[in-house]
Order: sequence, then C-alpha cells, then structure tokens
Amino acid sequence: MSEDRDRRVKDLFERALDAPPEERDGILGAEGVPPSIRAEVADLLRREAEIGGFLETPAVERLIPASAPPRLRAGDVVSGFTVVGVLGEGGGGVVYDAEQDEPRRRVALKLLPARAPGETGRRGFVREAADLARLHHPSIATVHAAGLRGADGATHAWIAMERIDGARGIVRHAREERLSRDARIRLLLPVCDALHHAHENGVVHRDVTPGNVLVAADGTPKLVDFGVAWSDGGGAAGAVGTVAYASPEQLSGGPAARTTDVYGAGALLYELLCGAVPHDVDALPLDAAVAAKRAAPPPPGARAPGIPADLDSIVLRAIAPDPSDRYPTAAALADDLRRFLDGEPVLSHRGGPAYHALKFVRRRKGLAFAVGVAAAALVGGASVSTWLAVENAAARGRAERQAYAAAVAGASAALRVYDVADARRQLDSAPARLRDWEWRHLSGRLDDSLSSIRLPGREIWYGAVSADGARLAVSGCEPGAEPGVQRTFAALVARDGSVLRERRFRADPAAQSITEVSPDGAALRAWEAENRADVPSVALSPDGRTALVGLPSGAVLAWGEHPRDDAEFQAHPHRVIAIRYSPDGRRFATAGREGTARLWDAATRAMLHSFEHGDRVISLAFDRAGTRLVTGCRDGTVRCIDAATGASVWTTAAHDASVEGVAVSADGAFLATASRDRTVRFWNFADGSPRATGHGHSSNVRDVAFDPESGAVVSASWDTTLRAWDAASGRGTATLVGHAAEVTSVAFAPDAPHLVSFSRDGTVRRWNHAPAGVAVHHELDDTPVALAFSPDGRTLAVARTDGRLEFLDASRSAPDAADAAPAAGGGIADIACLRDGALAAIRGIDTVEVWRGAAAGAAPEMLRSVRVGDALVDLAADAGGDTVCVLRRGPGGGCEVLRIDAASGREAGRLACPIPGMSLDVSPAGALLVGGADGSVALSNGSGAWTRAAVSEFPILGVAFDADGLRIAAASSDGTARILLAADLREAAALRGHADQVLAARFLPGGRRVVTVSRDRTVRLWDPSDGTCVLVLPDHGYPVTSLAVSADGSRIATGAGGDGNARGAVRIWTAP
Amino acid sequence: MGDPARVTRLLSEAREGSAEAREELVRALHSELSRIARAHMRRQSPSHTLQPTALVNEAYLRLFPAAGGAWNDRAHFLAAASLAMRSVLADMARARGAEKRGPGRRRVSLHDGLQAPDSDPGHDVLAVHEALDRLARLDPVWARVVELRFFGGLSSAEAAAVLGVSTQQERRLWNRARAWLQRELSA
Repeated sequence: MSEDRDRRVKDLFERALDAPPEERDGILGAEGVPPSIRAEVADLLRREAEIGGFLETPAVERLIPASAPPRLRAGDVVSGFTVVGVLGEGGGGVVYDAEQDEPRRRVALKLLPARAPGETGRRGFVREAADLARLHHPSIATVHAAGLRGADGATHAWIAMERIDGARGIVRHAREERLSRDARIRLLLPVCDALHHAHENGVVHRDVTPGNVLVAADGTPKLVDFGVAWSDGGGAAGAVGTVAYASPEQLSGGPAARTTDVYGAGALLYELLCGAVPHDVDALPLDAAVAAKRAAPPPPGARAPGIPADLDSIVLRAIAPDPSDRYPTAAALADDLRRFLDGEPVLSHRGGPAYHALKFVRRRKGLAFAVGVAAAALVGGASVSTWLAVENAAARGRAERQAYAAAVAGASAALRVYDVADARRQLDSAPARLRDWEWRHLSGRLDDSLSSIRLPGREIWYGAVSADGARLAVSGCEPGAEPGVQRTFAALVARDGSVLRERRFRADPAAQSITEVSPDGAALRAWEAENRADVPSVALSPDGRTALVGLPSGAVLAWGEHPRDDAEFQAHPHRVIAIRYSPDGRRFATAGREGTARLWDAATRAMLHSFEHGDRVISLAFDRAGTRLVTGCRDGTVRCIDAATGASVWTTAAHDASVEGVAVSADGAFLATASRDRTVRFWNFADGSPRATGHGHSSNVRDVAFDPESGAVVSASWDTTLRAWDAASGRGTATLVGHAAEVTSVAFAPDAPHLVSFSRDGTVRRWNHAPAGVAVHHELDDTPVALAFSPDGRTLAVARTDGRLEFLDASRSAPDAADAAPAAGGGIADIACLRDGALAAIRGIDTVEVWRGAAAGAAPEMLRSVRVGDALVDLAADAGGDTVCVLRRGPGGGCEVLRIDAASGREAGRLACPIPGMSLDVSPAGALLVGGADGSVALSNGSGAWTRAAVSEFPILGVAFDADGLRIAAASSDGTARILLAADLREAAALRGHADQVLAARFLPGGRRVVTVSRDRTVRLWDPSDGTCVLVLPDHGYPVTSLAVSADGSRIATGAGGDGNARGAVRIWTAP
Repeated sequence: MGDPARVTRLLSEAREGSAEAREELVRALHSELSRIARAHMRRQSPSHTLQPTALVNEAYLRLFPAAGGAWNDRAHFLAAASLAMRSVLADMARARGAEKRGPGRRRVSLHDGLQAPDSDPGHDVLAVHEALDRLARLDPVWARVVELRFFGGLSSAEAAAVLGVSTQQERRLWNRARAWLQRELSA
C-alpha cells in the first residue's frame, strides 16, 4: 500500500467517524472515491465498531507468564503474620506455619498468584476473600484473614487459615483408623453439609480431593483450600482440580457449579467405599481422560464386597457424567446418605421433575402447604410456574441482600488491610435501602483521625508542629501546573487550616536556580541551586513563633509572623535536607546534602559545631534535654553526637536502607528509627544497642515520633497508614487509617496533647491513637463481667470480677478517668440500668444493690443494699424502669423471678418459673423471658402462666426481647443464637457462625439487627430476618463475655477477658 | 543506571526538547527495564507480577528515591518508559521466538503463556512492534497511543495525561489506531 493511498483511506475513515452516522454513507459514496478505497474504509469502520478487547492485554503480560508466589523464609512477616516454618507443599503452592501477632495464634498461611492484574483483579480478590471469610462451618477451615501484599512494586495475595493440627487426608484417616463402611459414610456427611453451606454463600470449591478434606486430631473432617476458587483464573481447562476427582465438564473447561462439587464428594465416597478412584485416568492425556470420564464407572460394589445396591446407586448418581443427572445439591446427597444409614428408602433412583418438585416442597417447610394447595388446584405447568414465581421473587431479594452483604464484607476486609479507598468504594456500592448499623460503623472507620485540614492543590512533604499544637509549618510541592516546572512552597499554617504566611518557589528547567514567586506569579528573587527542583525542608520552633525553611541552595530562611522578623543565612553549600529544633527551642540542627550535620544557636544563628558524615544525613533528632543529637544516614547508619563537644557517642549500622526518621523518647531511654527498608527499629538510646524491630508497614517508613505522655511510638509510612508501637517490645499496638496518600511526616504536639500527621494528599490530620475502628478501648487487669449504659448513653458502667464498679466516659479512651467504686462484699454477677440512671447490681449471690448513676464527674454512690435470698443469677430492669427483676434459681430445677422496688428496696412480687433459669429479660410491656440451663426458654405475660419451648440441647446463656416485644433472641452455649417469635416461640431464624459459646445477644433499636458476643472472641452483627451475618467486628483479643447497647443504638459496648481473668478489655464500637 | 541525578538531568533536558537526552534516557531506561523484566522471567525476583505498570513503577522507584525526590511530572517518565518498554519487549519477543522455534522463525504466538486471550488472538508482539513504525509515519499520535497502552501498559487515564488529551479523546484515538492495526495485521 502506498503512503498516499494510506493517507487517503485514513482521512476518509476519520471523516466518516467524525460525522453523524446518517451522513457516513454520503461521505463514502461521494464522487471521486474509488470503490476499492470505499471498501477499505468500510472495513475499517466495521473493525472500529467491533474492536472489543484487541490489544487490550499489554504486551508484557503475553511475554512474562505468571510466576509462582515468592518463597518465604522463617522470620518473614506478611501483614502481621510471622512465618515459623513450612506445614506442607503441594501443587497449590507452599503452606506455611505462621504466627499471628494480634491476636496471638498459629495459622496456616498461603501465598497465591494474583489472578488478574490491575484494580479489577485487586478488588475481585478482596471481594472473594470476603466471600471466603463469610464461610463459617465446623467442617470448613476458617479463613482468618486475607489480603494483598506488595513487594518490589508487585502484588500477590495471601490467605491465613485455621491450622488443623494432626491432620490426615480423609482416605488415609479412614484406612488407618480401620473405619467401618457406615463410619466412612458418616465421616463424609459433614463434608457435604460444609459444601452446601459454601454453595449457599456463592462459593464453589472445585477441588474436592482426599488432600483437601483433612481429618483433624479430634475426628472432625475439614475442607481446606477454597483458595482454588479464586486462584485459577476462571476455570480454564485442565488448570483446576485434580484429574481423578475432577468432573468431566471441569476437565473440558466448563463452568464449575454446585454439581461439580457433588461430583467431587461422590468420587471421594467412591474411594472411601472401595479403595479405588472411579476412573483411573492419571496416566492418560487430558483428552483421553475426559473421554474416559464420559462413561459411567463400575459401581463400587463391583470392586469391593459388602456394598448394597442402594449405596451403589447413590454413588453413581453423585458422579453421573451429566451434571443434570447428579444430585442437585450436596445437601441432597447428604440427605440420601442419611436415609441409607437410617435404613429408609433412598431417592437416588428418582431423578426428574417429580423428584425436584418433592425436594422443593421439602426445602420450603413453611411454604409447602400453601404451594401444595395451589398445585392441587391447578394442573401441570401452571403449578410449576407458580413455584418459579415464588422462587424468583425470593431470589431477587436474596440477590440484593447478598450484594449488600458482599459489599459490607468487602469493605470490612479492605479495612483489615487499611485500604481506605477500596473500603469507601465498596461501601458506596452497597444498596442504600439495606444500609444499617454495620454500614455506618464501617463508614466511621474510614477515618480514625480526630480532625483534618486540607491545603488544596498541595502535596505536603515535610511538617512540624508547635508544642501547643496551634501552629504548623509545612513544605511540599504543587503538582500539575506547567510541564517541566517544579513548584514548591513552605507555609506557616494555623490550627484551623488558614495559611498565615506562605512562600512559593518555582524551578524552571532552563535555569540552574529557584525563584521565589509572589501570589500573582511575579518573580521576586532567585537562588542558585544545583538541585533546584527539590522540596524545601521545614522546622518550627516549639513556641510556634519561628519557622525555618531549608532551600535547595543551602540557604535557610527564618521567618516569624511578620516579614520584619525575617532573616536568611547560608547553612550549607547545597540542599538543606532536614532541619530540627531542640525541644527547648534554644538550638536547631541542619543536615546538608554534602554530608554534614550542623548545630546552631537559635537566637544568634551562630554555628556551634559541624559534624562530618560519610554519607548524606536524611533525618535528625534531639533528646529532650538537647544535649545529644541523633543523625540518620542514607547508608543506613545512625549516629549519636554529644551536642556540647561535637564528639560521636556511638554509631550503629541500623538499617538496610536509608534512615528516614529518628526520634528519642522523652525519658531518654529509647531511640526509634524509621527506614526505607519498611521497618521501625527500637534502640537503647544510651549505647545504641538494639531492642526490637517493628514489622508491618508495607512501604517506605518516612518518619517516627514518640508520644511524650505514654511513651508510645508512632510511625508514618508511604503505605498511607500510621502505626503505633510499644518501644520496648516492638509490638504494633494500632494502625491509624484516614490518609488517602503517602504519609510523609508525623509529630507530637506535647502540650496539646495529640499527634499530627502530614500527607501527600495535602491534609494534616490530628489523632489520639486507639485500635482502629474502636471508639473507646480500655485495657483492664481482669474480666468485665457485665456492662450497662446510662439512659443518655454517655456513661458506661462496668462490673469487674473483683467486685469493683467502674463508670467510664463512653465517648473517649481515658484509662485514668474512670470512677471506680471499691470492691465490697464479693463479686458482681450482673448490672442493669434503671429509668432514672440508677444502677442495679447483684452483689455476691444474695444481695441487690442500687447505685446512684454516674453522671459525668460524680463519684459512684451506693443508695441501698437489700438481701434478697441466695442463688441470684441474673437481673433486668422492669418495664417501667422503677423496679428490678431478679432471677433466682430455685431448688429442684425451677426458678423464680422477684420484683424489687428500686426506691424502697421492698419486694413487689414474685413469680415461679418451671425451667432452670440462667438468663432473664423483660419486654417493654412487662412480659418476662427466661432462658434455661436445659436449653429451653419460657415466656410469661405476667399472668403466671408460662409458654415453654425447647430451643437447644445446650444452655441458653442470654435472652433479649426486641423493642416491640415481638421477637426474642436466645444465645446458646451450642454456638448459635436463635430468633424466636414471641407469640408462639417458633424459631424464625438461626444465627450460625460463632465458633464457640454465644454468651449474649441483643437487638439494636429498630429491630433490624442483632448483635451477639462469643467465647470465640468475636462480636457479630446479624440480620434477624434471615440469619445472615452482616459484620464480624475485629477480634477482641479475649473471649467476649458481656454486651450492652446504648438506648439510641449508636454505641455497642463489649467486654472481654482472659480465661485466667488476668487481662481483659472493654470496647465501645460506634455507628455515627 | 543507578544515578538518579543523571536521570533527572536527562529528563529535564528531554522535556526541554533535547532529542539526544531523550534517546539517552530511553537507553538508560531500557537497560533498567530489561534487567527487571529478565529477573521476572527467570523468576528470581521476589515479586511475581504480570503488571507492566509494575515494571515501570519498579524502575520509577529505583530512579527516584523517596526523600525529597520531588519530580512530579510522571507523564514524561511514563512516555519515556513506554518507548523503552517497547524495545525491551520486542527484544524479549525476538529472543523467545528464537529459543522456542529455532532460527528462522521470528514470530511468536500470542498464545504463549497467555492468561487472558484477546478476542482476536492471531497477532503477536513483534508484528505490532513492526506495524507501529509504519503507523507512525501515517499518524504519530496513533502510534504513540498504542505504544503507551500496549507496550507501556498504561491505563487510559495515564495515556491521556501523557498525550495531553481528554480520556474520551484518548479512547477515540486508541480505537481508531487499533482498527487500523488490526486491518494491517490481518492483511
């Protein structure tokens, strides 16, 4: 093709595209256009319209195949998990034995190749990880956490799972334990149930093999490695699964469905029964294997004796080559196996529509009758379509709820890896109609800071704060503007964000200088500077009166509030990399690009000493007295210098990369250093000997500061987070999220007192540090046994095991601000808040006390104490709020509820209850609800008659009414909380997911959510209408034993404590 | 390349229009990108990414250490890096073709190691590379957008920023250039 001709084609092509569609024919058909050119342009237009994904996959992805995730070594840290060793290795990669810092536990850690590059893949992973984290079943290895890990600019996924001790593959277990035929079948039942649970949550396993069904030391089978569900790239042929156990449709690259896992479970059963796999295809090429699998295998009974025909037919139906011939669900397979074990007729022979109709009716217990009537009244197709309509309407609602749950779980998972931006996107995508407490709570967690100010259009690279927190000095650059021109600035900023003074600079590519410019852009003056494009460094005197700005020319500008106070001096020959004032403000230090650090008198600006370093000094810090100066170097060394003599006190090779930040604790005991090697390290300041290393940041750590009050260390990183550390142990205590870009500086305002951080997103944020997502966290030295909010929700009463009663300010963490009533006369069993804010408590086992409510600042005062009788176990405020209802265990398996008048202390009545009561609640209308040690609940409308229902085989540890008294939540020792209808105590929903005893359950006001606490250390939020778990709050660190909800529902308080009662904590979670 | 100051100087000179500096910059980036890419191919790198932008970012981070490295004009870097990537990838494609099929067969199928096949998978990296030279004579901006997106691995927004156009304009250029290339390559 000649170039002229090409040009003509291209010209016509573009003209046609730029024209409205109706004019295209006219352009192409114009006179003088040769037919061959017209045809080419038409061809191009067609291609343009249908271009699709052509060349959308970048070249490098075609050339570099996905490689395996990196190999980890002992000591490596992945998001708070420290690798201890290797648990096992297989086709799916290496599984590591790892230890989690917080909470402390052993986990199985696996790295996976990221499925798809880019933002879509990332979000996909986070969502799928959230799907997996939602699976809670005793026979599914729990996914503790999952996330993405960046290394050298690349990202891969990691997943931390429950470690199953003493595990063997299911087939080996059955063989070695010499299990009977029926025991083998029973072993598979929980696996089928677990698969069904996963399917109901939208997750297909796809690789059910003996290696992925482990049997724990206690005999529980556990499905592991749902990981395949996301690591395979969407079901490419041969990529997934193990050939012998893979279904034929999987091998030919078809989509995986529930029936794929039914096949896997069937193949497993086949092998458990007769010791061989259905088709021995491992030696065959893939296409031959597929062909072999299209044929039905011999029944297991033909390979091993003692297998009845019914069992053969169950197995063969499960592994039928055509998915539509198999059991539709894993639950259906399990049901049929149970029928076989019970000696009932099995359904495996009955496929077809009648079978499905039967299953449908069975599943929809409540609906079965109505639908059955409709089916009888109509005939054939009509009845079927009625069923479909019912199922479709339900499916739509379910789909929306699932989308909501996925968004919330995704946001929660994203927050666990401090990805605020992704969490925000997920929350925005949640259907607005369904948003509730958990949505508001997570939204509130997007930013942990107290307040923020923003300098629009600025990136802040260096920041300093005055001692009182009122003044800030910042410097940085203004991105964007003109190509090739670097614009920088330094500013003195008030607390409210107003700029008091600002100086702006520009570096033009043509000049070897930087120029100061006026607000209207006029050039004011210039400095010669080799590194003209570098950002100025800043320092602020502790009194906030003088800011120092170090320029790329080596000059330092000193400015006060008025231009008449301004001064300038040449501190270094080249760029001033860092400036720092001594805490008393009498001296300051500078670091120059040429490799020296210099000490200056702040009043006279006379140089006191100059210290030569081998390499560039990047960071500076004084000790509190100003007698020592610490320098952090680009080569990773840290040096301590005597400020009086200029002599080096000690030098240490501190980091593998540039030391970006240094800080000395107020008491002079510790030094903290921050580095590009992503660690924060802690040292003895006296001699530079190492103490601990803090891992956790996923990128360059830019700055570090000590809290002069608590001694905590806070680091600022390019990973957009700040982390708080315990300097003595190197243990991370909190992660602070809120910045949307790299955090570049951090400083404490010692007199404020709070923390200030600076970011490239142009914001300055102030913080009190507390664990992420928790409005209030009180660490205690024992277990809080009961909690109660004051009616206004501002005070939280905490009953301690030793009998102390504490009143905490519910709005802030202040460990020493609590008023504590001294322990007297034994422990407290329970507390409840009365209408006027008075607090009722069970002291010991026989006494009811009434305390004056803790209005802010008032000391707790006991008003009266009444001996009621022994064996008091629980209490609740009565409907009116003037009376206390107390539950007392009676002899011989019953109990009674006593009413005590709070004002007089006199008994106002009692009612005997026939069940062994453990827990008590009173509805707004005065109905009494008792949960029993025998797993039953009893309800009385006050008339003396009780309605009873057996709810569980295990004790009911907590009961609660909703605000209307229409529904009941019952928390059980069996790990489940149940929602019952108050009218007839029928079960409306089961809240399944806790891995240990549920100790308490409460409805939130409005009744759309129930909150539960468990010995499994978690707090969960549920939708009581369908039993969906909508949120799992971050691990409490101890078994969670107590629960209270404020009257307006904005606060949930939870108390947790160690089994030995030596440690505990109270947390208040908020949803603004 | 190791010396950020040198790269910074080259970048600013390239921005001022020095063709010599631009060539030197691309050469410098070429060796750096090539080293990183080969490390990935040998799987010796601790990372395992497929992302082309990760390669570019890796180079970017090496060249511009954090402290005070206040060079904001990423667009210029991305443009230079995309050009360098193009030649790195063309080299790699040539080497792979030679290794896999012996001498004489230069072309390498895009199916090799492919994770997500294009809807039209018949074309290869080398063919695109060669066709781009012809396209550049016809319309340098079309060639540029393919270089940025296909070789540089840039997103639509990044490419738009480099070209100084809106994302809608970028999309238009990208579609037209691809239609043209598709016809060229299927001829």
